[in-house]
Amino acid sequence: MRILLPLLLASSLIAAVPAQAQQCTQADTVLTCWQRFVPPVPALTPAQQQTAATTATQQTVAAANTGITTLTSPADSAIKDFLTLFTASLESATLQDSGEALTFDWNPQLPILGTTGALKVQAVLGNAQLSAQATTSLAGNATAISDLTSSINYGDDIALSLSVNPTTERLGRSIGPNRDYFETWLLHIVPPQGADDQAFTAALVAANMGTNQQFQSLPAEQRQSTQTAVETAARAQAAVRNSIRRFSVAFATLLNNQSQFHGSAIRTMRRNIVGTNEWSADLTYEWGPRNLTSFRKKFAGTCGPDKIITAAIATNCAQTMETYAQEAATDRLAFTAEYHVANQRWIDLPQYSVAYSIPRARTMVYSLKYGRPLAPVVNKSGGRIDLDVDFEDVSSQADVKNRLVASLTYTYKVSDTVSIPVGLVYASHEKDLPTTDEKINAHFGVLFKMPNLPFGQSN
Amino acid sequence: MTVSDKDTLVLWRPVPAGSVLKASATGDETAFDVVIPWSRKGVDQIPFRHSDIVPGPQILVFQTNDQVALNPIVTLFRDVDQPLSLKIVIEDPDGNPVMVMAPEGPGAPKVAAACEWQISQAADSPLLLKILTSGV
Repeated sequence: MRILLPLLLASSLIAAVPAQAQQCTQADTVLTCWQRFVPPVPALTPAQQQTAATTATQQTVAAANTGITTLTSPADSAIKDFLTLFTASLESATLQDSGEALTFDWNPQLPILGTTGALKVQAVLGNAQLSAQATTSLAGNATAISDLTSSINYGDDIALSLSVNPTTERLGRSIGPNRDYFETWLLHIVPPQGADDQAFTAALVAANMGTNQQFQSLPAEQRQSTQTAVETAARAQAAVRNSIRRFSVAFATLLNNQSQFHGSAIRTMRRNIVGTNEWSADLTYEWGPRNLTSFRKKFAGTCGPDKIITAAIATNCAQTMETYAQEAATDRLAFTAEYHVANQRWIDLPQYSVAYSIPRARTMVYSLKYGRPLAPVVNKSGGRIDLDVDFEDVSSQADVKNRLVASLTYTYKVSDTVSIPVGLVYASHEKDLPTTDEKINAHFGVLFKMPNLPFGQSN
Repeated sequence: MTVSDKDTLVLWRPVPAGSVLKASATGDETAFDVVIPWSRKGVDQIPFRHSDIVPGPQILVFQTNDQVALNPIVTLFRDVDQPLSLKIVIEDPDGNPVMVMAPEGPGAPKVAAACEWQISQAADSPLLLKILTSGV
């Protein structure tokens, strides 16, 4: 939604320029006359200017699968942040010390489904802590707790992860695999401009004027002809801009609806007093109903990459794509399967007269998430409904029942920073409490997102 | 006053023969595309593609009495945190900026032929520019 609304809004504004604005006067400069037809580039906000400074250092690695920041604390927003979990950037290998954990990331440049950089390897040396069971078992023995705590170091809680997020013509919303298709199409839509540009340049050179000079500053005999030359060129530019804008908005809408696949596996190794050794793996598939892949499949015979060979075909196909994209629903569906095993562990600390065991625990979680905007309106306010169904299969564990949790959430977005969610949550059991059945909770809240503050900026 | 980085129309003249135009762009490669259709003395040339410009620079050497027009198109497919940037400059063979007539006209001090455009919002896309040059 965050992606599509601005695009649709921008498209609707194209025809909204008042007719009286599209008329230059002798008091205009070349540039102000031009801008009556072709708007200037919007200024960046201070926060955007600040982040721009780091763009150059990151652009060469942005195409890599950088995964969730750390897989050991995965984000939980496949619907609301559809396809946005992979936008951070890293060098091909990095080492970070956050104070809480030491993280090593590596993007091996191995080809997967025809793309490189889709694989991410991560090792996290966590800030290991004495486990809750150990602390409980040592209750009252402050010396023992102190001694064991001081004996723990980074190497006592290690997580190794492998994640894959392939980007192909069919998967992922990167323009990369579809760039040739887009560029070839775009360049067929843009008409030849050489002759017109030569005439326009000649008119400005003949007038010997700069773009910030008024037409009325010219000798009387040059004013009208120069103004007409600028107006003619500006109208032509606006027409080109309009046609490529409609096409690119439609293309972007479908590109941002592309399906995405993500998978990861995590191995966690812990010292016995820190916790259990664990294995986990998850697969996620996210889907938008009308996307670039479905367009290419449906119109392969008329608008496929090998069919767009003339300006007429390109223009007709652009109209076809625009119609197809306008009907594209903004629904989102995501399915996730997670498998998790915590190994059995026996802890024996005879010097403190403590011994206990942790049983093996195996969990399978299936999750289905569906999201749909209810009122996509131009002022960014609007509603959204999200349905989330999770089934936790814990049948291998004694004393714990399988659990079904379903939630239905309506979120009203008041502004970019404030949202009001209202939700119903059904659970077949309280977690780990099999005696409480069929529980329904109602939730109401206010979400406030802190705006980016311009810390560290200088004037 | 110099050429504004918000201007979508730029006129750079006079450009001496042997000057070098350099076009380059940076940004999230997964989120944007840039192409530059261009012409020389009224004849349309093979456009510069994204792969030519990113990371670039794509180079174009001016001839005597040259007349080059560029129509860069920058498409942003989704909002990005870090703005993408398109930079076009004209330098002499030694890499120094070429000074051209100011937008205020022939009486104003000359300015460097250099501009950098940045966008980060998909709503501002596509960015369509027109850069006209006239050589000597």
